[in-house]
Amino acid sequence: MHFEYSVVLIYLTVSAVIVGLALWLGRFLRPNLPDPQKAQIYECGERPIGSAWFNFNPRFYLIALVFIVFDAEIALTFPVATVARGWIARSDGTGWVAVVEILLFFVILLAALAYVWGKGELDWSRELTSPEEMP
Amino acid sequence: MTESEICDRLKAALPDAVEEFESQLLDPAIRVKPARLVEACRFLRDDPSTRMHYLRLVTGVDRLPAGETPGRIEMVYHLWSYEKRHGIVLRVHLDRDNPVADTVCGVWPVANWGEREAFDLLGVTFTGHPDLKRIMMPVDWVGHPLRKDYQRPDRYHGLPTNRTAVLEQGRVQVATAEHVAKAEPVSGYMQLNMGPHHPATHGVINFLIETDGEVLRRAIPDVGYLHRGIEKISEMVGYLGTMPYTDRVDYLGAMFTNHGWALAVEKLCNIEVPRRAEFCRVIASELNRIASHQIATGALAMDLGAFTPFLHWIREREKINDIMERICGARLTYNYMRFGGVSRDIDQVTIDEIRRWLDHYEPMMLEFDRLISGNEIFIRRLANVAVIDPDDAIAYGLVGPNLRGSGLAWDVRRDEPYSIYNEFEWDVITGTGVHGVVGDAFDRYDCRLREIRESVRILRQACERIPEGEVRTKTARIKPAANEVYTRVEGPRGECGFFVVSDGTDKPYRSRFRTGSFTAMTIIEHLSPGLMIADLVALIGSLDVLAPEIDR
Amino acid sequence: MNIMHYLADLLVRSLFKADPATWPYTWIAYAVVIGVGALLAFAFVAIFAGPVTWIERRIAGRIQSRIGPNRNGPQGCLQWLADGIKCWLKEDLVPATADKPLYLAAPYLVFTGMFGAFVVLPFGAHVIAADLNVGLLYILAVTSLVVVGLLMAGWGSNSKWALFGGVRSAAQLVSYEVPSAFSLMAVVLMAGTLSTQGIVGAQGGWPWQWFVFRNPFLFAAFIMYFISAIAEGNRTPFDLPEAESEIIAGYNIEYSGMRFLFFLFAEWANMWIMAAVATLAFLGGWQIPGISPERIAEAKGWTFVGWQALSFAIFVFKGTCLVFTIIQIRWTLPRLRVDQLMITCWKYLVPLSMGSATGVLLLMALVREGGIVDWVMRGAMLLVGLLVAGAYIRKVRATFMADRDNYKKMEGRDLWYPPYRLP
Repeated sequence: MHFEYSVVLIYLTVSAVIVGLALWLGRFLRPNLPDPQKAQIYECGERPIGSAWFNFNPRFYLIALVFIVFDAEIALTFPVATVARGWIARSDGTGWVAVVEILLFFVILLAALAYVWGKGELDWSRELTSPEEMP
Repeated sequence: MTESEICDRLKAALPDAVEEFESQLLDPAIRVKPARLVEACRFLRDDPSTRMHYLRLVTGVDRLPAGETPGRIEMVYHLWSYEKRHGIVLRVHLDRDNPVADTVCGVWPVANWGEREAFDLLGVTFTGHPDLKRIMMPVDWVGHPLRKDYQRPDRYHGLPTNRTAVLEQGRVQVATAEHVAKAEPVSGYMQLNMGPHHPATHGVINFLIETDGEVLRRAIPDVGYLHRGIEKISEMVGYLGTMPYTDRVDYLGAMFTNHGWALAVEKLCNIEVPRRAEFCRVIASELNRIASHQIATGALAMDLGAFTPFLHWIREREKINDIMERICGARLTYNYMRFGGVSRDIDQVTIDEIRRWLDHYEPMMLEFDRLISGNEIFIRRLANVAVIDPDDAIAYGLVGPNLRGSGLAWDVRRDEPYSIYNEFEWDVITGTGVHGVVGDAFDRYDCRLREIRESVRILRQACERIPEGEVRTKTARIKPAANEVYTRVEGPRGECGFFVVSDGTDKPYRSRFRTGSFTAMTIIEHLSPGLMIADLVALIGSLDVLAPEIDR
Repeated sequence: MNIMHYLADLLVRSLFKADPATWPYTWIAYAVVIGVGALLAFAFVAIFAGPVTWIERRIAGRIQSRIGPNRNGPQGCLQWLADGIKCWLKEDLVPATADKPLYLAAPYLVFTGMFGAFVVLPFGAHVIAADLNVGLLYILAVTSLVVVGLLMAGWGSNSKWALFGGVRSAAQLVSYEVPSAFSLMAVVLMAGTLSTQGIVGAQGGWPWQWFVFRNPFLFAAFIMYFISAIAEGNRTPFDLPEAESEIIAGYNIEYSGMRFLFFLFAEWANMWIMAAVATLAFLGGWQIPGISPERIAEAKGWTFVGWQALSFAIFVFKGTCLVFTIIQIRWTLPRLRVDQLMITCWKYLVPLSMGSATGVLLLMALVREGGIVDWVMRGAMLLVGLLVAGAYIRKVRATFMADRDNYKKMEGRDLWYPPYRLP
């Protein structure tokens, strides 16, 4: 298996090299005429107001949190899912261990999803917090 | 009630507010004292016998001193009542050197932008106005362009304002100085420009939006990028010379602006229009209405992400453009109507062509419906979004499909009849809440689609019944006596009104175009809190605003 | 057998006349062979992503009743080359206030994340770069690099529109990974292995041996995976991050020239990955109907090469069919709003995909493979699939017939042609 992973490593390196090479070669082919007007940020033709590095809506953060939980579940369920078929084929009861374990895990996560759903965290709330309450 | 009855009613309620009743004008006007203006307006709006909830137009007219009469600036307010089907014109005379008036924004919110325009172009200050700043000209412009004694400054931030000088100067580097004062950034909210150069604002319109990520706190429209001063130009080129300029006011509905301008001058000069010319006008106008609604509905679909229906509609519109080319020679800016008729006849070959096209077109409307109107995603994006209730619609001066989409059945063609529209059989389309609440974005979209069908009906009847005859009355040189008139036509964006002040010469003293998009913009700021950016795009598309109409 | 291994050994034996096990520089030969393989894969990606843009624009043109690019080369087939060269020759503008390291590094991440998934795609019976034993999990992991890249692009550009696009895209990609992973988990349960070659090997060549028709839960999982994959690829109806009519170009706003091209390249190649993973997981991959993998492994010489070529052609054909479907969906539907997108994912797709995984698990435990219930389910799902395809064809035909008579009326006019025929 080490060979396979070295293949992956070389692939990823080659892809980065391709990008770098294309950009580096382009340096000789493309014009480079810097101009302060060209280096301005595009905001539909008007001058941008304030900086763009802004505290973003916490809604996105909540979605990321929920995703983390489910991602951890996925990562931990995949090994059991991989061996489930073999265990079931053995037909001496170990198959049911896999089934029950996966089902239990899913039930717990579905309960978590139901809780988040019921609390309304999945809806995009349209009430506006006043500026004082913003983090 | 007639205008004199309204004046008597006003006199009875507020005895010393009325100075004069000007009954010699084509639209009789009541002159009130500037100090009692707001009271009079409030009375006219709330009194059960007048109920004038709709402020059509706020205009300023600059009168230079002449002989003993001192110079003055007149503010003219056209009022209308949808319920009672009557209207009146209010006027106040303000001192020309320091024109100050009270704002009527508290009575009709639609006056906000009209007053800003009067402040910008004429210099009238309105006490109590929530946000009095320039609307068409840049914020730091000096001078008031519509004044009769206006001198254009030579330079603006180093750029010459003279065209020849600009061409001679060549490329110039504009100093990136902070001369544009925008709203102060409010902490906690992201402020950005959904700016003039944006695919979804229909034309060059800027929206300053304050958003906390996705949900808007406010969206303030900022217009004036396309202001060409057509009203001032009309004072210089004369009545006939303004006809091509009216095309450019609403370039998708050019026939209607032509028609309105022709109607205004015909009313001032008392010119008769032959019957065949009326039929030609109706045919050309309804074809233009179909073309404009096609763009409106297609552009709405495109703003929501479905690119295909827009192109299908453009394909159909090409045929309308071909027919228009046969009629008047142009495909977009027609310059077709003249005072006393139309410029060229529609020959029989073209009429047969129109009939053949109508046979082809009626099933194509179904094709569009099949493609997009029933699409679940499309419905979800539009239904229950940006609901406008009828009272708000009237208070903010919405007209046309925007007003009818909220349920109010008012169509200028039927209710303030002009031309020969009341000889045809057709229905006024209102929003029915087909997929959500009455007055949501889908209703306005649906109104436009159904109006296309009604236009097809009118076209069929007109092609059937067009009589023989002349297409243009011979008129002498247009020199109307000193008078004022306000005419309106029902364009695709609603009531397209023309307020013309004549003074006996062959050039208008003041002309003012009342367009549906100008008043539709005021409601965007009112509706925006709580919308998402995607909803704002849907709102702008469903209101069918057009930048040149707003800015003129 | 690993084809790279085999080829490298062949190289060492024939060129250097050395035994690969003892020759000290064998690892150089391996690296060279793998590098060449990577370049070949990149060539495939380029040859796919380039012409597929041309095909997409021609298809979009036909759908929109116009022609599409037809000037550069015969019927416009070199349009992509012209666009690529043009983009390469454009100035690489970096905004003055941008966060330079993030801004410059974003295309690398996006491209690497996309390209890395090609390592485990089974193009043919033995045409695979690296048959990792965690193949599918590896694909899910490496395509997540794209999320980081898009966030970097959005944040680094210091433009509010770009930030919108970047954050929206991150939220969307991250949310839709959950149902796509659960749908693939259903497949993994059925196949018993994460290796992509193993998953394809667990299916067969005939349609009733494909996973999609094995049981109704896998049918549903296919549809859910397809929808999630379209969302992962930022395609309409989920193209909020680059919604042209709302936030201009989203995270792409400040990029120009070659860097911009790499983002686009990554998007089109991502289309191929979506289609390829759906093919290998649900549609039987490269399996040739009637020929078992053992028979291919035993073949020698030109027969062996022939089977490889045929399996490659089958895989590419199936993938291309799905790519066409994705293209058609893009040019027909409007886009969802961001909260509707989230609701679709979290309230509909996640519970349903978890349900399908559970259903597959229970069916596996209760139903014997090859038994009567198994065959009944397969037959029923095949029937459902045929009915769906038949309904689609009927609807297309009915629409066509409804409009055909109408178009006939306008026949003969100047400069007019019916939309269904090229001028």
